[in-house]
Amino acid sequence: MSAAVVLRELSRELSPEMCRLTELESSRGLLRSDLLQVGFLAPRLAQARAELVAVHIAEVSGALSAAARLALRGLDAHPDELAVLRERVDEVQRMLALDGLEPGAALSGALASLAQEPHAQWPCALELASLSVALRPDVHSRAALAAVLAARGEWRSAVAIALAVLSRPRSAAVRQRWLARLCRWLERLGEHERVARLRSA
Amino acid sequence: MARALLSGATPREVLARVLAGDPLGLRARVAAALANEALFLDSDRALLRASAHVARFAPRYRGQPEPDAWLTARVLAAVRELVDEAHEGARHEDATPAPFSELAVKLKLDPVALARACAALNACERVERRAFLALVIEARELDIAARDIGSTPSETGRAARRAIDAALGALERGGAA
Repeated sequence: MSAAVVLRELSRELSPEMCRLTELESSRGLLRSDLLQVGFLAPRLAQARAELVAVHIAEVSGALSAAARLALRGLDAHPDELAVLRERVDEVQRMLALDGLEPGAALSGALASLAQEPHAQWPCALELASLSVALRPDVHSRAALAAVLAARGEWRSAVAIALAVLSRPRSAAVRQRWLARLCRWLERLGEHERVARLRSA
Repeated sequence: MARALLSGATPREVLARVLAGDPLGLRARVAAALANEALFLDSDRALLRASAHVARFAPRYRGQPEPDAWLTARVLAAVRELVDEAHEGARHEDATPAPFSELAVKLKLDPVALARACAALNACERVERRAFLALVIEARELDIAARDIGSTPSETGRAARRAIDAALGALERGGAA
């Protein structure tokens, strides 16, 4: 919206004296309208910036979850997938920098390693997945962490994550997916009766 | 115009551009997305998150898909993200005030309880949410609601019942959400 448009809109609310004043002092009026526009937007812009930070966080968390899954696969990870991830991490870093957001040391070290170092020198999958959950605990980051824990044979921790996910409202599809995982991990713990109860529920 | 607004700036700068006067029509897009998906979200917060999404991904946008489709996709992504966050009960530190607080006061409900019920409703299947919206919130006639949803009256009634049960269950479970 141009300053002139804002001025016209404002003029509708002003007294005739003020209208004359704005017409006479058009240059000063334009300046005033710019300032007023900024004033109107300031609190809203602050709220929107908080939402922008949330979007940045979600993107970083998503990249870390994806990296954790690749780290988990070790040498099986395909070079194309690694290249895609590096590009994603690089973009995440650039966007953070453009907006003047500085990640903490642990996060910034992990991102730099993912973007620049060979796959073998990345932080371990558990560290990446934990960072992802710490940033944004959602079903995606929790799924990556639970997968890492399950791969390490830490079934009880994986079960605890599944139970935490299932304690919240979830869509039927998400619930079904996590129930299947939970049953798989409970089977590993030898809790067959519990699995049978879950499957029949 | 959309491409000019989205290009050559940092996400923060794009955010300021898209907020001032809503030149991309995001408010209408968010309203349409919430109505189409029958989601129970704070629409103003959804608008701010959608604006933030557009700003964050603007530097990546190269003109494909067409701006209209790209903006709609960004709005849907923002709305999905908010639904996920409501399910987690996660809120980012500087976000807008608790959703539904004003509405809850008017309805003499506990804002936390109302937010919890909305999260439960948002976890329902789309057809259940649409049936709930039509029959409970909009108080439409069953036959008309069913026709609009593209279902039978009996299935629409059952779908609304499931949504009501989900909301009541969330309220009864207390702090679950």
